[in-house]
Amino acid sequence: MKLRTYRLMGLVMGLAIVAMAATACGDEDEAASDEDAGIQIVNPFVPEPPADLGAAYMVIENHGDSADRLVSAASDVAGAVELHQTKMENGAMKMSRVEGMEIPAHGEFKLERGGYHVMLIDLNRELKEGDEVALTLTFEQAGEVRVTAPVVESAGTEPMSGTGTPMSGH
Amino acid sequence: MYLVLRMARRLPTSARASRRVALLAVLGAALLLAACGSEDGGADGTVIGDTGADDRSPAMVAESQPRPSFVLTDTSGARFDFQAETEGFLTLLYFGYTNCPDVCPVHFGNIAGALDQIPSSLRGRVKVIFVGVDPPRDSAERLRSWLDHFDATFIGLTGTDDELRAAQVAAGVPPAQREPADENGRYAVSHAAWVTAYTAGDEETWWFPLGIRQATWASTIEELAQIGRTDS
Repeated sequence: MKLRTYRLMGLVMGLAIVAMAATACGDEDEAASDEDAGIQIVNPFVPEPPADLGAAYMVIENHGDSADRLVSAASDVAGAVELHQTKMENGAMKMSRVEGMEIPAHGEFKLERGGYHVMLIDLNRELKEGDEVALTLTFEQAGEVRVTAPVVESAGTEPMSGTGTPMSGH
Repeated sequence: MYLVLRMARRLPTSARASRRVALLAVLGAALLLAACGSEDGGADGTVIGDTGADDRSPAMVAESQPRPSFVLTDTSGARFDFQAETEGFLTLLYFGYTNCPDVCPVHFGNIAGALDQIPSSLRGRVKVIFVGVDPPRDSAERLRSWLDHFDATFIGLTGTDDELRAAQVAAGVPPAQREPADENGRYAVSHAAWVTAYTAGDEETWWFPLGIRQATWASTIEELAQIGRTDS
């Protein structure tokens, strides 16, 4: 019975996805008009921080013909903003500051949980679900790009896939 | 640490089946998209939290390990004997730090969300322990407020560097290390990435790597909470 319910849910979801995909076919003209927009920020968000520091995530799309590089970020909610990467080393998670993030021409760069992120340090106010964080991202080519990231519930976002496993190196 | 893992032995078949169906649906949609010749591959369809169908699975350690023995200090300032205080409960143990902006909140957000989904009769059989491995910054007060953000019943522990090292060695995780400080005196701490779960009577030991979806957390916790306990 339970199994059947899951399957039914899967089927309904599947149909919804197929319907969405079919709809997307009609949008080519609209998508094309964004081509010259250069750098575009997709789905920025900040999980509700449990302390006075947090992280912002997003996908950076580069629609331009040359590669670009995110070199810094700033926000009025944080005393300092840094670009960071979390990675797995010998079974341990290690976070380190990075100098920049390279976005290939006609490509994208993902900032996601358990990977690259914009770290918001020394938050000057409590951020709650529903708040908005204004970020200014500075790119080598595109210059300053402003983006507004909604604060979402901590548990409301899933981590990235493909992070190393505890088996590696042990 | 030299253990062989059996992946997802206990993953409920219903979850597996639904994942398979969802995967087929996604494949179908991808084919349809490809068929209409969309140039940029539908990248605009990205949604928050969408990490594709290949999310990670918890793994059972082939030979169960008894829960480790160590003593630390809890957020009320009392000494906390891990083995004595958690015996008889499904126990989730994690070593992290409160200035961890990324992976610690991912794990704890998902655990808190998962515990809200399981029956309350089982919820009472679960203890969640967060050990703060950065004593200069993981004060009792800060640990408490960090954990309260997720669930007020979560237990926060910390101790001296020596005590913390002993606890991590006992638990079989690589001891955390403070990274060199930057010009502003800020530093990161590298620490074990996974949550270890011990069933009530140490019948089974499980590892939860980073990258587990909340629904998988919930179904696995619900199943593990029923091991080693008889309702009286």
